Amino acid sequence: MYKLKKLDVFLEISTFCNAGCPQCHRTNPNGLDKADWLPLVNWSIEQFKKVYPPHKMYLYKQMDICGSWGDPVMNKDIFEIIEYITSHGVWVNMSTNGSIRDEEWWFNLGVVGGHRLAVQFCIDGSTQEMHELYRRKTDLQKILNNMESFSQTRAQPKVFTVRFKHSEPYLKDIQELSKAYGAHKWTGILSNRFQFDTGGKVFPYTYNGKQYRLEEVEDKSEPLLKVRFKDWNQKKKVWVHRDAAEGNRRKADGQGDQGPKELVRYQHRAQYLDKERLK
Amino acid sequence: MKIICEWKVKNKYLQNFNGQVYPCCYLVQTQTQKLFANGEAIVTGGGTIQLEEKQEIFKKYNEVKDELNVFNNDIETILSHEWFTKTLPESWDDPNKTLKQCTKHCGVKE
Repeated sequence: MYKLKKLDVFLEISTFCNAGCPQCHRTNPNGLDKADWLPLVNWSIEQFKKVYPPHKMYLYKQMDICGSWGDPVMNKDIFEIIEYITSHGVWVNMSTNGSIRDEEWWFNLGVVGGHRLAVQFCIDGSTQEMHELYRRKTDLQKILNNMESFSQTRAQPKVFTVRFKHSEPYLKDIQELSKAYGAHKWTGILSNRFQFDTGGKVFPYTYNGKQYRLEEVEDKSEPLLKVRFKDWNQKKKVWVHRDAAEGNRRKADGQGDQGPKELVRYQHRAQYLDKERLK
Repeated sequence: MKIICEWKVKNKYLQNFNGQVYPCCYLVQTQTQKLFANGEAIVTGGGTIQLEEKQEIFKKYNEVKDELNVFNNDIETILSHEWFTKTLPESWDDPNKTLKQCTKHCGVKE
């Protein structure tokens, strides 16, 4: 059935999540907490290397780290896991709500992952109010800032939107916002999780003691929309090679020609590389 | 109705947080809920799941599930296991055995 080469694996490495999306499989729509039955699990880098040892990485073309049960960026070792995967020439496609960690972390992740890393940031509205009607407990501006920081590397930032009736008239705004903060590509899909309890069309949920409802898009003729921003690469980028430690250190010492913002990032990266050497 | 497995075409599989290997994300959800919810019907954002074991293919999976776990076997052994190479693909030829998830997501009118 499978060809044992150029495999693509969809990895579940964390059941932790900072968000509370009402239609997620891990979420109880009555309060938006984790479903009681779901155990909290995090894979460590050691576990990961044991299951995917270096001599078996040749089997893989791509690893998708998406998360049906949690957000992968909540995994404490996700940085090391992505570094390990991409250093073996395997592509990574990760999906996240993006409202976790800071801009430095995202910049460094982009440097480490390089062109083999693509991240889909979930943006479900052009305003915080619109966005959080579905993507509860997340901060739109934090996501945008993290994506912009990530977009300054060779890695590929993308945006993923789950479409509902309340956001459908504003898709162009969401696309413009995504592009402005560095996304290369936008994908919008209709939610297909209305069919179970309500006979479709409406999904009620409770959050902080209040009742809310998500409504299905009326015109479902285009369930999948994709936009590629052709001029994304016209913005000046700071591209740092993942192995350019010495160069980074010179710039961090003020011998390069980078501005203060970049200097901080280079210093951070240099510190990271130093830690790696000490291991 | 013919089944053209979208994930098989992409040479893609799923490894769950507990190490179990599944052919796709459509099958993992009910299976995970079944395993951890102790057979109770449960409500999640994805819907209310009745945890019945009506579907023969899942029964067969659960009989050999330890063999289909990355903590017990390497991936070559798992993907070459009879459940992946015979049980599941042969179920697509018999509408009575085909999983409803396969029909819903990968069914193509002939």
